[in-house]
Parts: sequence; C-alpha cells; structure tokens
Amino acid sequence: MDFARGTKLTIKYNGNVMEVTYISRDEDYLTVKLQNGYNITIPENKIDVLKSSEPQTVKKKRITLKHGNGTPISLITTGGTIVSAIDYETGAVHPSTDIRRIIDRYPYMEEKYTIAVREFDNILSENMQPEMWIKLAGVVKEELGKSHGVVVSHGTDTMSYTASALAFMFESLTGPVIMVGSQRSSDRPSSDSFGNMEGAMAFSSTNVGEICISMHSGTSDNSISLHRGTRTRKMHSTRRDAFRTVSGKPIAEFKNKNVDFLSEYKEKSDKISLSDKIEEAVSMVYFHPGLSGQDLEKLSEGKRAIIIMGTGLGHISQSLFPSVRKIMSMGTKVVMTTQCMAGRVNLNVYSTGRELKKIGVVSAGNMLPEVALTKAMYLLGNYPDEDFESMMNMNMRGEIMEREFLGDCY
Amino acid sequence: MIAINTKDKKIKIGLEIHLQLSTGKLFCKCPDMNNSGIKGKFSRKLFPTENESGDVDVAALQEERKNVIYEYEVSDNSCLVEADEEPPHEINADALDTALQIAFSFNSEVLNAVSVMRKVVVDGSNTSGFQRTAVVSTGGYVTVNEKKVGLTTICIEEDSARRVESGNDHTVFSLDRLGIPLVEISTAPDIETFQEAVDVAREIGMRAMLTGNIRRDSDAIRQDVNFSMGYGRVEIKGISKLSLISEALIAEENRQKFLSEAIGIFLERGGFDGTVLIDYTEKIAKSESKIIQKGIAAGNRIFAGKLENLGGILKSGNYRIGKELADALKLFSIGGFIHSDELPGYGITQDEVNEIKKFLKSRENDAIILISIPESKKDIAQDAINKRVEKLLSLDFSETRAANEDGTSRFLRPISGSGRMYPETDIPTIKIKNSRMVELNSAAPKSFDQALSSFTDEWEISRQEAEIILATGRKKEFIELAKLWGKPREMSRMILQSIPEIERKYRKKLEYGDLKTLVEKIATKNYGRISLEMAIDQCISGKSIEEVVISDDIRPLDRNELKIIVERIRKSGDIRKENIIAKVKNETNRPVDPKIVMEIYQNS
Repeated sequence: MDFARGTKLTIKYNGNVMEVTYISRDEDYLTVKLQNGYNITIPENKIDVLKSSEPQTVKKKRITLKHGNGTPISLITTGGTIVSAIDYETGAVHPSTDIRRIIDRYPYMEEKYTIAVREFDNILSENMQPEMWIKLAGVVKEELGKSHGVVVSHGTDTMSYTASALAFMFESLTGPVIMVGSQRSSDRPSSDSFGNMEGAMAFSSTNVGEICISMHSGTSDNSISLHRGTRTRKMHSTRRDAFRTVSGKPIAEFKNKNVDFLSEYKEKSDKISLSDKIEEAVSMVYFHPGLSGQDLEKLSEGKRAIIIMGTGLGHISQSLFPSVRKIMSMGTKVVMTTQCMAGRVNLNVYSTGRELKKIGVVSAGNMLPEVALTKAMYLLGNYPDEDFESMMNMNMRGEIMEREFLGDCY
Repeated sequence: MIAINTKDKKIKIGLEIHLQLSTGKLFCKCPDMNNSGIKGKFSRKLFPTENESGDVDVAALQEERKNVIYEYEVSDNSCLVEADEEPPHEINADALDTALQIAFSFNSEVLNAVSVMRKVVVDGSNTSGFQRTAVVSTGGYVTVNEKKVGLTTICIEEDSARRVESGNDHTVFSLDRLGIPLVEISTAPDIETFQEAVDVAREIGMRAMLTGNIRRDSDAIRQDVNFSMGYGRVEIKGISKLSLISEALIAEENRQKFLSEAIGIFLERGGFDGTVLIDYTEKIAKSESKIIQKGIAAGNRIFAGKLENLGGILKSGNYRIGKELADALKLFSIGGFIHSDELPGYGITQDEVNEIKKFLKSRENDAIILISIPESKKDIAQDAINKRVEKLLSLDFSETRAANEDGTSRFLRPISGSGRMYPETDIPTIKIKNSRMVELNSAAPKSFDQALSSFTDEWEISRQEAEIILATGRKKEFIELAKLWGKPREMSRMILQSIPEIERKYRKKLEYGDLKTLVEKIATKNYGRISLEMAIDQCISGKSIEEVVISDDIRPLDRNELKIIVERIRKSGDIRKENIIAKVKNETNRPVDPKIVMEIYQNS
C-alpha cells in the first residue's frame, strides 16, 4: 500500500469503517490521521482499504513582506532551528527558508523596518564549514551596502564560531551585524524565535558596529540580550538562555520594545573593511588524562596551528612535552587555552606552565578556546607567521578581556 | 431548575473522563505530588502556529487576540521539561502500562504503536503551547444498566498547568499539575439521559480505579460532557464532581432551549446588521450613574450601540441573550455592559435612556447598550458582540464551554478542529511488544464485580471492605501494607477504620510514606496491632517516626511484666476470669496481649 501523503482513505480497521488521511509508512506500519486530528499507527495487515482519493493540494498562505519607509534591514537566512519546520515524513525538524511566519507575529515590525530577505543557505549549523564563513562574509558586506543593518539567522550549535570568525574578518563595519537563533523551533507556539528575532531587528537598527548574537536573556520572554560575537558561548543544550557573555556583561538588552546598552561597544564606521582569508589547517585538542603523545602528534599533522584546551591555568601532562616540542619544530603554532568554563590561562604560576612557555607555547589569555581557534585561522590566513604570537595576545575585536570582575557571568 | 422535555430534538450525550495517574509525570522524572511552595517565577508569550496541513486552529487564533502574558510558578515537582526548556524524556512506562490496562479492561482495541501528538492550546495552560496526547486504543464499550455504551478512543496525555490567578492582562499558572499523566476515556454519543451519563461516568471511574494507579486528589478525576439536542455539539469542560454532571446537562438543555426560542423571535423580527459602537462619553458625562462616573474617572470612554431587533430578549423571562454577549466580552477582559432590558437602572434615568434611543435612532424592537471601556478596546468589543450574535443567529450553538461550580457554564472558545493537532517530533512512535500486551491484557479487570471477587478471595477480607478499598483506588497501597504486615484482615480494618478514626481525632492526615515506614518497622519488631495503632496515634499527634518506634510506650508487655501485674491485682482482691483483662489494662498504658494474660491467670 503506497499512497501520496494527504490521500483520503476509507479503511476498515478492527471491524470499524473509518475516514482517515494517509500520513506515512514505516516498515509494516501505516500512520494515518483520524478525523479528530490524532495520528494513529497501525499494522498494515490489520487494515482493509475500501476507498482512496488523491490528496488536494494545500495552498499555503504566503504574505510578501511590505516595503515601507522603515529602517532598511537585510535578513540573511542560513538555516537552523529558528527557521526550521517539521518534516512530517520523518517526524524530524528540518531547516526551512520561510522566515515570514516569524516576522508575521509582530505586525509592527513591518511598519518599523523594511526587511529584505536573502536566502544564503539552508543547513543545520553543525554542517557549517569555514569556507562558508568566507562566502557569508561576502554576502554580509554586500547587504550592508544596501541596508542599515544585517540580521543573520543561524543554527545555535555553531553560531558563536561563525560570529567570532566574522568578527575577525571584518575590521570595521558600516552597521550592526546581528546573528540570531532559537532553541525552540518556530512551529511551536512557545518558540523563542519570535522574541529573539524581534530583538535582533531592534539591535540591527542601532549604531553598533560589531558582530553580535541576539538571544533570550533568561527563561522568560521579556528580555533579549545582545552578546559580543567574540565572547559568547552556548552554555546549555536546550535552554532559551543558553547563550552567555562569558566573563562580562552583554552589550545591550531589548525590553519593552527598547534597547538599553549595558556596556561599551564599538560604533559603526563609515567604511567597511573585510579580510576574507581563512586558514583551515588549524585544529583543537581537548587534553585529558591518558591523552598520548602519539594522538597529539596525529591531530597536529599538516596543521599550521593547534589550540590545546588544557586544564586549569593551561596545563597538560609533562609526558606530552616531547611531542609538543616535535610539533613546534615542524613549524606548527601551539596555543594554550583552558577547558575551564571561564578564566584566564597563566603559564607563570606552576612549573608545568613555565616549562610550556619556555617551549614556546602561546598563551591565549582569557580568550574562549573556540574564539582562539577562529582567531588563529584568521591570523594565519591574513598575516605573516612572525606576527602570530603578538597578534594572538593583542585584543583585536573584544575577544580578550584585560579585566574580569566579580559578579559577571562565567 | 426544571428539566424541559424537548420531544422534537433527540438528545445525544458523550463523555470524556480524565483520570490523573499516580505514577509520576508522563515525560520527565518528576513526582506527581508537590510538597513545597513556589521556587521561582517566569513569564512567556504564546503564538498559534500552523499544523502540517498549513491550518491554524480557530480556537488558537481567538486566544492570540487576547495578547496575554502568562506567568508561571515553579513548583518543586517540576523541572526543565515543564518549563519548556528541555525536550520531553521517554514516556513513563508505568503510566503507559496503566493506560493500556484500562484500555484492555474496556475491551478497547489497543494499538501496537503509540504516536504522540501535539494538541495546540495557547491559553497558557501548557508552557509549550501544546498538550502532548496519544491514542492508545480505539473502540470498546462499557455496560451500564444492561446497555452497552460505546467508547471511541482512550488516550494518554499530559495534564495542563493549574490556573492560580486570572487578571486583566496576565494569568498565573502553577507547574505542579503540568505533565501529570491523564488517561482520557471518550464515549460515543450513545448516552440518552442525564442519569445515564452519571452512571456511565461512575462505572468508568470505578473500573479505572482498579488499576490502583489513579490519584486521589480532589480534582484527580474530571469530566467533560458533549451535549447536542440539534443545535450543534457543545462541549462543557472541567466538571469535577459526578453530581454536577446532570446539573450541568439540565442547565445546558435549558440554555439551548430558551436561546433557540429567543433567536426565533429575533429572526422573525428581521435579524441584525451588526452594531456600531459610538463614543457617547460627552453626552452622558453628567449622568449620576455610578458605573458611568467610575468609568470616566478610570479614563474609559462610554460607548453606545444599537442592537437591532434584540429588545426584550436580552434579559426578560427565560431569555438571556445579554448573558451570551457578556460572556463573549469577558474573554477580552471586558467586564460587561448595560442594556435596555435593564434600563432605567444602574442610576441611569428614563430620560437618559430616551436620549440615547433618540441619538441612535432606535426603533421599538431594538435594544441599546452602553459599555465603559478604554478607547483601545472599542474595536475588540464591537467585533466580539457582532461575532457572537452572528454565531447565535446561525442556530449552530456548537462551542466549548467551561463548567461553573454551580452547574452552569460559560462560553470559552469555538470547538477546536483537527487543525490543532500535529505530531510530537521529539518522541518517536512507541511500539508495544506483543508479550507486554498479553501480560497487561490478562491483568486487566474486565468488570468491577469480577475484580472484587478475585480480590476478596486472594486476600481473604470481607467483600464490603474489599469494595471500599477498590472503589477508592487504594488497592496498591493495601497490597503493599498487607504484605509488610502479614495479616491482611487486620490491615484492611486498620486502613478503613482505626486510622481514619485517629486522623479524625487530630484532624490531620498521615502521609502514606510515613504509614508504610511505621508498618514496616513495627512489623519487624513483631509487635501487634495495638502497638501499631498507638504508634500511628503518636505519629499523627506530632512525634517523629524514629522517636515513636524506639519508645517504650508502644512495646507490648512481655510475659514476665504481665505476671507481676497479675500478681499485684490478685493481692489487692477481687479477680475473676471476666474482669482480669480490664484490670490489667487499667494498670498500664502499654499494649497488652489478652491471650498471654489469660494464660497467666489460668496457670497460676
């Protein structure tokens, strides 16, 4: 029995004749929709199909975005939960390009902004690759030429990687570039997409000149935070407030339709400057008890730099020192970060650290490991090798915080 | 209220019985009991979304127009799942088993695979904006008074959040009830009388109780009633007591009967083109009416409107179209309105009424209304009134109503269509093994009587006691305690008599967990029934279990101790077989075994 989804069937099941709609099949089971809306899954051999009629094509309501006199904003869609829809065949959530249903929730936005939607890609963010950051940067540049600000919808899993990569590639921006995602897909009434997008639109019409992330401040729907792309990490797999500015305060908060700035930021500039080269031969190693020198060397093969996530202040077992020396002798840069959720690497406190420093390992300060990764990719792509260490230690895009304070999130 | 015999219209009644399970929550590991106060609060908005066919549910759209912010109180029996901050865990196997067992017991055809759906509910009662629900079986029947009433489906679903407070623009819910498993048993519209509806509800409830997994809270069993007498299906939700079922049905029958009559008059007069609300504030600002003055002081505007051909049927005799309109306004937090059937009144004079009528060019059969609302609510109010009148005019009264405590009901929302359902994608279809089906089927009680007989035989307790234990859903607790105690008869008597007596004495309940611990500890010490009752008494009076269990007060007197007492009594004089036990008991507060006393008496 094979039918097109939506086929109306008259079936006999368990002695009862029922009018149902065919949904899908899985091996010997058919899933059909009852007239009251429930789906039931029943073994094929228990059903007699008495009648079937082809599905009527469902006309979806489509509203084109109004082009009014509001602030011009470009919306670049890359996929991810924020624009995802349910796949009724597989039952899974898949990316979609239909952004309208999110914007439709706030009719005032159509008056306030003139939104141009540009589909960049339609992928889940775990499939995002460095080469796509380069393409995306190009599109962002193009769109900033036409709009006041840019909103990029992105899956949350790797959103902070993309944000920090873009942050390094753009030395200056002519408007805000706000990345936005969601933790609950927009097919749910409780989705955070609507609020996150409302915040992103508001942030994108400010004078910020940085790459930022717009997500829920807390579990409530009353506040959206604007985080610096180079200081943000996804801290929770499912919560709405998963994104946090590590060791600092968010740049701004969107509450009651108002943007309040909470900390300093770089203002937009008159000109845009993009260095769009990325060295992909950089990798990251998570140190753990039992990690062998052989493993470390294998992971470093052919790489121009490796980022080690060491313990505490930036340590790895002394048994790995010979391998580190060997890796460095082949010209590979070794950068030390910490696998602690926050805090600074300091290679002066313990002898292990001092030894690593002597070998020539570069300390990443309090840069987040994933940010150190994108920064290394950017530096090796655009600057000479000899500048690597000094630039790694230089605060270029707010990625290093010289001062950390009690009371800030870590 | 008097029931009216509407011979021309055939009454059809269907029931949906909802039973909360005591197995812990359906999609997380939280317990179904809540023990402490509020641990935190958060607030959310909800937006209706499309289903897989691209439809948006009408009921959901109506909720959206209210634009409410929902607040939630976090209870200690809730986690990230209830807060909609984490996807559901796997389905609670005990809860599913219970639902399947209930399905088998009503001869319902159990599905081999359970597909969990999302039923969109955006009134805030679910943090996710939908209720997770799944059909576990179709068909089946229940026999009441020798008549078979068919079942349509049996579902397992999550209970909604408990409404704590409803305000103008915010509503507060507690997460304590959210996610508790509910078994929903729906009957076909085979029921023909109000008494039959009550009987069917009772039978279904009692049979389900036999699983021993039904919660015993006051709102653990709730009934929805579907009623039709020819004007469409009306669903009355949330009747918490069996006794209110027939009251609700009588009230609904009367409402529809008089409503259809009033609409008949309205149609004969020529119907309605829709009302237009006109700002009448300046013209009535000098009125002495308190309602008007209060409204103006609060910054409201006073709007006047003409309701063509509705004069005399808004509120007179049995006709209450006014209340229908007021209910529709209440949904948008509009407190109500004044209409000409009540005027002059509320401080508004006949002269003022005449003025308004003149101003609105009102004719003889027309009604006029006054409504005090903020300017921003004018369109909403006008729309709500016009929509409600249009709906009534169609003589299709189908809608969802909420039960009131007094047996009446109020308009809640349009009947939800199939557009509100779409698959729960976080939970793959659950296949049920054949071996599990066979096992559950054989354990399922096929009738209350049959279950009662086998229970009575197995535990050798009286039929009367067994019936109470089963009908009040205490089977599981009884079996557990009887096994610990070793003497089922003693245990059933304690559960049904002595413990409730002690509880009445102190006006306090003993937690089941505490009772179980006491029974277990006293049983290990080999103390008897009297010791246990004493221990329970002391526990309820406020002592800790540890203290009670080691206390000498509950330790029965041993043979030597009893010997000393018996000797003492003998020396002091009159002692006979008939009074020895009473005399010994007089000498001590500790438990006494009469058998040992008799032995000592006879042997000495």
